[in-house]
Amino acid sequence: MSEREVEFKWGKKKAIGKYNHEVQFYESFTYDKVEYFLYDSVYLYVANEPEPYIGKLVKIWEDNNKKKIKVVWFFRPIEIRNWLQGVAPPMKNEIFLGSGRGKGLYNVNPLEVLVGKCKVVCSSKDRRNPQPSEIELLMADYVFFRTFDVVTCKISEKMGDKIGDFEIEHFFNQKPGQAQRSLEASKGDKTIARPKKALTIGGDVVDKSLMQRNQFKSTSKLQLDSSPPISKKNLPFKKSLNVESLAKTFQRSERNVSPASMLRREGTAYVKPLLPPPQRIIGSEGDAGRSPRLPQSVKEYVKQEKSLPQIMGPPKQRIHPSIDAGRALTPGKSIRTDNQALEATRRPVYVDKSRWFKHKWEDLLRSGFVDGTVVLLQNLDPSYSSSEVQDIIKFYFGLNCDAKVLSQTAISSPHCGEAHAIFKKREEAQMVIAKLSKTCLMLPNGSPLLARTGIPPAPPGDPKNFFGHLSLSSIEARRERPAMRNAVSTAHFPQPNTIEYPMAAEWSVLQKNSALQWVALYENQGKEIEELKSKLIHK
Amino acid sequence: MGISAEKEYADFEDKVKRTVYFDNLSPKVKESVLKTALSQFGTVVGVQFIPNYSQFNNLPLCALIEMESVKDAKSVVAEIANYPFMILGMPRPVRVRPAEAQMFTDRPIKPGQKRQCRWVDPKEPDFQVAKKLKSLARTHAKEALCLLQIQLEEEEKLAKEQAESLKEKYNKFKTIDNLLIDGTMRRLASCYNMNVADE
Repeated sequence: MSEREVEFKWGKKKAIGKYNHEVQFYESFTYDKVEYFLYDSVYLYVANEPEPYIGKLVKIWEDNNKKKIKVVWFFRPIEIRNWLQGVAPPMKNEIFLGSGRGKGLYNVNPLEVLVGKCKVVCSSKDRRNPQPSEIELLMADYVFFRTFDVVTCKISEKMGDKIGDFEIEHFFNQKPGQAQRSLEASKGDKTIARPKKALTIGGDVVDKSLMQRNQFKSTSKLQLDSSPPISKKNLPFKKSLNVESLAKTFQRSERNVSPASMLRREGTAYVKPLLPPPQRIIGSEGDAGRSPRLPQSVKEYVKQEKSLPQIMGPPKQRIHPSIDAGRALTPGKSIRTDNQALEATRRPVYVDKSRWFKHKWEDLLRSGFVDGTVVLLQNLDPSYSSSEVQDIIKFYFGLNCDAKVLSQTAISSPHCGEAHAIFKKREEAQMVIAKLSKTCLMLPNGSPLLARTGIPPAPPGDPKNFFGHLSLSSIEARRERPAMRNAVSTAHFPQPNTIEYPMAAEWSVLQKNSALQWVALYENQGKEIEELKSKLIHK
Repeated sequence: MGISAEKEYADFEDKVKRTVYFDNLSPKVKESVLKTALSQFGTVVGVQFIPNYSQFNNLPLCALIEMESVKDAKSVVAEIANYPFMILGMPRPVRVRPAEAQMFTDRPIKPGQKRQCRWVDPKEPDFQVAKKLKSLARTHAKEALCLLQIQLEEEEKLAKEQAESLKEKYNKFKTIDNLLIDGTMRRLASCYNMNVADE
């Protein structure tokens, strides 16, 4: 891993600590080429979590050469899914502002945990909140208009006067007439007339004349473009700030709720690097060996792609707050301490929310298998899409379900499609299966619908058992040389004069044979089906 | 600001044309590997692995890879279909074909689909036919699994054979190599008055 200097520069000073004159408060700073201001919404990344945390910077200071920030948390719907019953389901990019006075509302963290800025727009109808325009709402990364009380765990649309010790106005949108800045604009010259309140932040009296709201609207998109493209050398990174000497704690305190339905994450976690946006990961062959060094979550995260269809179809993967998705994110996180280096990279996080939905389906399925709510529907018309399956179930059984068709691969039957349907209750699933086996629901193509309980797939086996990839143990040792390693790991066409070539040819023959076998099988089956179907009177 | 169903489907079909379907992929292959591998044919827009819901746990992976243009996709298929292409291991080559709409699980609805199903009454004669169709479908599914099993066994056999023959060849090679190294070859050559070029 290459070491890299991460730039840091303090911006505008704010005040000296009242009780401890060693402490210097700030209003802004530049970290890793991104300028942060007080009350900015930011991303903080944690290892093993596919999504970063979102918070609002409410306090920035330096104490004894340690740079600290205090963030008030925003909660993603999935983090508080246990308390979302009975309220309006959250929107796609909705988050919840923490409120109440208790553990979990905010945390103090080392400044180095920041991985980027985030555009959060408040769409609350509170009269103190400047209402956002359509454009602003569209351009926002996230919106919020509800709070989640960390003590009572209640969701509310009412905005109080303070969040913790901070005035609510800091959390609303900027007042119109306040200067909007771009990243490149000069700092510190736009001042806004603010109501002259004596703001006390954690007991320190802030110098009123310094109360300028240096916020500006920066889009995360802007940041993406303005950052220089990542070169191969730069991933992954280690900072060269006095990282080892920093007390590395990333804290997000526990909420005092019972862990009954939460999955606790034990062990240490340290704030992990910023992820380069996926499209830049395309490196050359060397990267094939490099990716294992990125932590698992990063790899998963990077996998998410623009390839995910922009058109998701009707919302079959809507947020089901009541379904326990079984994801690892929990509402209350245990306090983590770690002694490892905080790592950071230089790119603001590109949060692709569509990845979230994909992730959800696998998790939904997994928990569905456990709960017994998954039905495997077979003998479908293979051209049906997931939403059509859902509609059929809705129409003919009156039940809501989440369905997704299974992919047709080279070995699937062209005559019948399959789909997984996840119901809310096990009884519903059982009922559907029973009904379909006793009676008959005929699809328009003449096939009767089949259903059976969904069984979870077998866990993936040892990749060493993959037939056909050979290696010699003695040659393994020689793989130390990068050239050798590249030769194997690079995707390539074998040359005819190698030993590889005839062996590959043998495999090709086998593969072609297999393909022909499938064609023959399905042709046969097709004939049998047609024969029977011809006996149908109605179609 | 809705997108009409036709347009959605047309966009989807375009995407299908630009996508290639790979299988026979080693489980070790990850998205980044695929991207790198196919970057020699064109820009890769996206990679999506197809999950395996069967009960076999060492099936080769399948993936859908979306390229930037139809031309790229076609060149991938053309090249790899004709010459064996290795990804992350040898000598088993990967297999490719152009993607089809039904390989995508998140496809939009095809406009104009009939969706009118009906409940068949047990008294109708069709019900009997339907019952037979149902059991036929189940039999077919079993047949397919059977075939898959047979094919897996064949693959295992071939892999073992190749491993054996590879080992033999390697041993032969090592012997000859050793001869060269320790000078036996040269001595033999001088015995027989033959010239042996020094490699």
